Amino acid sequence: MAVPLELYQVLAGVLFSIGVLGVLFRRNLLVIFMSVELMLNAANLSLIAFSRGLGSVDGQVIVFFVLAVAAAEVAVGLAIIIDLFRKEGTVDVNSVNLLRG
Amino acid sequence: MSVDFFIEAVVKCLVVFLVLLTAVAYLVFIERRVLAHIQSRIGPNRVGPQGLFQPAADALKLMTKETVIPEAADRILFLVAPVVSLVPALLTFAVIPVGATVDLFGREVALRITDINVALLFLLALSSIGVYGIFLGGWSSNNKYALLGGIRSSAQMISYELSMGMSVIGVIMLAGSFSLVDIVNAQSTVPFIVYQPLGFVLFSIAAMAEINRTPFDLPEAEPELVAGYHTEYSGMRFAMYFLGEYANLITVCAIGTVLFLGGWLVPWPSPAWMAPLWMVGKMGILIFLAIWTRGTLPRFRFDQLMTFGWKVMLPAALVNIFLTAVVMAFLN
Amino acid sequence: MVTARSPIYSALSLVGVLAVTAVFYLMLSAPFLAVLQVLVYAGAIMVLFIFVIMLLSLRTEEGGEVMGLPTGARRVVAVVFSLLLLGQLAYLGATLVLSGRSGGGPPGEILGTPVALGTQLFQRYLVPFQMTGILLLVAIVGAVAITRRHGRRGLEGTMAGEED
Repeated sequence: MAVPLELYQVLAGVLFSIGVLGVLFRRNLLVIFMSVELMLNAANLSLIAFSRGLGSVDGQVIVFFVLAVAAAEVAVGLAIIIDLFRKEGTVDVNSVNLLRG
Repeated sequence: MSVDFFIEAVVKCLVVFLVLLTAVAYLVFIERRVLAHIQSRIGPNRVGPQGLFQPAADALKLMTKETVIPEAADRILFLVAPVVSLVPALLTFAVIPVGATVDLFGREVALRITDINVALLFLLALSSIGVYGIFLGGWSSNNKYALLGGIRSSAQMISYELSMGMSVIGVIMLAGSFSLVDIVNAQSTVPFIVYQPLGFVLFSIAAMAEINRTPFDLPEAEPELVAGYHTEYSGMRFAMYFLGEYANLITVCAIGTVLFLGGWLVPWPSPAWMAPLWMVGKMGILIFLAIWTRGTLPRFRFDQLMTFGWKVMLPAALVNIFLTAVVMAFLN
Repeated sequence: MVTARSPIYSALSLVGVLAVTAVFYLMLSAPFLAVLQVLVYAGAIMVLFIFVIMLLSLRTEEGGEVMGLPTGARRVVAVVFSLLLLGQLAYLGATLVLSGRSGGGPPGEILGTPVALGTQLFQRYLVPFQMTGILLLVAIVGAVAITRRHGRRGLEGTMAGEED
């Protein structure tokens, strides 16, 4: 009575789409960033589901790397957001509209 | 999954839960007496013979105090934060083994709730979750002292989490497994403290910093920041934070016993049912060391604490891993 | 998470999602990654996020409106994606129901033990492993470099304090 593989893909797809909607509809930079993390997680879930479905551990190794890269990306991304906040005084995404600054 | 298995699991959980809560309550009392003797005074000895009913009196007092919630505080988070602090401390005992197997009512009962093949990582993950209780409590109080105390406490905890994790890698290398039962069984000849003295020292220091105890308890010290992250808490919720802190102490001493002192194993033959007693004895040594440290050392200033964690503990842990690896490579 | 009014609630919802996903990993015979997910993602990355939210004191969205309703090109993209979302759900759900399969049974043994992953990481994927280490180092140095003020003040001066 196991959960079928397709259902995990549906879940991953739904999570990914919710993340995309978050990126499109929210104005707070931090929430947009978190939505990107949600998308990464959806991809991870899909990878692990396939890894189990194909009986190979390679998918899990890839997820390990994705986890590490996500951590690095969050560190740098948050640093940039903090710097932006210091310059603009807000994290509203509509205020980031100058190439210089 | 038979009904037997289910009943066994539920009974074990209940037993562990009750024993733990009682132990935590009495630990508070024991600490007050021991600290008092270190400080040349007596400590609570009036309630019951030698003050043994003091924890009951304390519990009664805390439960009957009014729960004050600040008006501008975030209600849901304010009420949930102490729970988030207490639950991981108790949950760790789901994987800590206190003995081998014992024959009870005609069944072989293993003296642990469960054993997973990534048990040690599970413990580290739980301590990561425990951090949430601290700064959520600080932030939801809507009080700048609480917020500052909360952020400092959690910054300290995540810094030392790293050192704590790395200091046990040597033990993992020696035992070849993340499972706590395997680690204890690998110490059947010699406890790992002999092979990993630096690891043990690092783990002890990191663990004390991780659970916010003196000498690392600046964020809660009374002369600083009022009372840190639990400034606005009273009654039952404060009790939960308090219990969480002492439960964490028991947890960390249990982990230290399992990883470095050989768990329930003793060099002389002993019946299986005595295993938990040996384990409690060893934990008692570590707890006494912790209380002794509290009574003796002054606190670290916050920046000294962070410097120490990143510039001294982390390189020392890395050196420990390197040395262990080199020695193992040459001897195997 | 995407509809919460305060960023802290969004962050906490994301922590919830991560925890539940970790349970899914457990069900998919990846115990090592499940615990790593809680340790790293929920326990460190999200803590960092929440720190930043608290330090920037963002309680509610400024300007009242949480969702900027898209205009123009963004509206088109948003509509397309919403349709894609619904279409996905419908299609996959339909194929699942129609095919009537129940998926693979539980695996004979756990695939993702630390031993299995460790073997792969140190043998086949050794170079990516080392490169990930360098990547993390670069990220740390970069993050410090970006937030370092020229006046040698740390983040609001309240956290790590001055270096001596």
